Amino acid sequence: MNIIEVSHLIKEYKKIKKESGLRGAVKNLFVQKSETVRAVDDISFAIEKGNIVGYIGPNGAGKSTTVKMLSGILQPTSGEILVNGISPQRDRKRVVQNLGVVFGQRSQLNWDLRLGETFELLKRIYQIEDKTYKDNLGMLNEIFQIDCFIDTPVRQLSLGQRMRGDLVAAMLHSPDVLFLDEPTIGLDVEAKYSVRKFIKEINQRSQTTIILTTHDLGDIQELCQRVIIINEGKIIEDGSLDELIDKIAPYRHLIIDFYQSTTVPHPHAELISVNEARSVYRFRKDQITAARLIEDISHTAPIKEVGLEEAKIDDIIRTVYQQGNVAEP
Amino acid sequence: MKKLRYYISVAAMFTKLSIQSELEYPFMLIGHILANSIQWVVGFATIKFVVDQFGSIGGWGYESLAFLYGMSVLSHGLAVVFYIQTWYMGYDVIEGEFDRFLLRPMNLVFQFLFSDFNLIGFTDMIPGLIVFFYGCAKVQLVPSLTNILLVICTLAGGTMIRGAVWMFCGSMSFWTKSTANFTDMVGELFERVSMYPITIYPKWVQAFFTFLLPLAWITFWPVKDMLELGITPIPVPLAVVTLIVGLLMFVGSCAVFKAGMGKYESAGS
Repeated sequence: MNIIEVSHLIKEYKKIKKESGLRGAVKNLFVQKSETVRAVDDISFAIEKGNIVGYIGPNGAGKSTTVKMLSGILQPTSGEILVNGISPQRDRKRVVQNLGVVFGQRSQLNWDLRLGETFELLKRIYQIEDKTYKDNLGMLNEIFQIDCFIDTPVRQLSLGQRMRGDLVAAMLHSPDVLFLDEPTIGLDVEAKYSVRKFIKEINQRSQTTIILTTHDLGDIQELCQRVIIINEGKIIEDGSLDELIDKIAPYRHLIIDFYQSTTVPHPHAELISVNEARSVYRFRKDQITAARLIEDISHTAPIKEVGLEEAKIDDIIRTVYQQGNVAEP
Repeated sequence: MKKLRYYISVAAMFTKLSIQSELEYPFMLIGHILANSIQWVVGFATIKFVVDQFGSIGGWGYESLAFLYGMSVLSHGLAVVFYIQTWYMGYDVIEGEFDRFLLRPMNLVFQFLFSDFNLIGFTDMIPGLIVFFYGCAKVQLVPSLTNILLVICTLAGGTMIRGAVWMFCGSMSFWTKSTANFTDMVGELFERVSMYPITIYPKWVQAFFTFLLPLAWITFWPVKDMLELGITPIPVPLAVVTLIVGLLMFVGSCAVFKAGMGKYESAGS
């Protein structure tokens, strides 16, 4: 079942072109040239219930704009969005009742008060029953150990604690859908780990559908069954991370150290460098397995040491971003 | 009914939390009590000085002026309590602060009005109450049920008129996309037309503030009516007219706010 459906979504902004200098400033008062910019340019996708989807792209690609339209903050120029079968533009209140949103760069917690006080406010706003509230808070506490700072004023929390507080705040009313906009931004290794663990557990325990925008590809690798890559307002890739790797970087590198200088060619692998006793082979995963390759080669010459190199996720994503840029005239 | 109970319970929580956050900074409140008391007492002393020199202002004696002034400071204080957030709407628009309201399943105007309950307004009301009761005693206003109701109508209406004007000004930021707005300037205007009798101004100015930009209703007309009964041919007390004007402007300002939210574009990223 698709819990989110987006079809032909477009968001245009009017950007006013200003002329420079004093003369330009005076001129701007009378004549304003504006140009229309498409932040989101005809995108469509559907997300199944219970999925964790990574929504990634370079800065200014249109990620946050999309998330803001999905959550009813922005009005699309055209196109249709359905969350749980309801349009956030037509029936905002019903959609957000069942939605949790966390913006990594902005907190919804009350700065001056204890963390717990924001939770109590949310309990009233979302009309959460006493028992549900207690159960949810208990479960979230189990994953996140917020007990130790729930009575601390939010302004005194560390960034990691604040982010945990924000995630709990977004999950208190047990929403079916959770939008996370850069939830690990600025966090240290430990806090990042615990945020990822939280996302995983929430997804498993409550079948929460999660859309995650991030620049941290570790988040994607650990969490997302599916990635949607957007650049300059258009979707340029949509699929599982493995599929993406196979498509963009189908090659792996096998490094073999022999006991002595030798050259051993193989029909299914390209020998890309030979440096004394070390040879580097490039092969496609779908043509031969690494084990088979090693076995074949060891028949010809004895092997001392082997190493296997995967394409790096960062490089793959960078390749994808660049392709997107090239496509643009 | 259930919906009303829900909104009231959330409003109560908002209020409780606002008060709690403000009590985190007690020195700010003390500072405001001092500053506002000095401001209003000096303002009133100026009026007394003028009256001592010239006998009256626009035909109003010192006693009536005290009553008018007290009433004006009280509705100013109440407006600050309920509407102070309108002063920062430009900032909210530019920084995308309204995102939070849009993400919660409640009416937007309600969230905007109730999410910030400001105690600083009460620091205006302390000197306001002193001058007001002093004025009441001076004009020998009988604390009858009618008079109490008239005062309540005037304060409620006056507060809503002030708040609505602030909200109109603040909402302009939705269209201008700028933090600058007119809330400071109208503050000055409020003082000019609600603390002194507007009869000191030319007729066309009086007409302007009575019919076009109805600021004269904040205090002037209802107070004049209370002090000199039967000044108009209308059968209802002018305090009731103030309440009606206030309600109409409240509804109008909510509509403008809503229209503005339709233009809202959140913040950069």
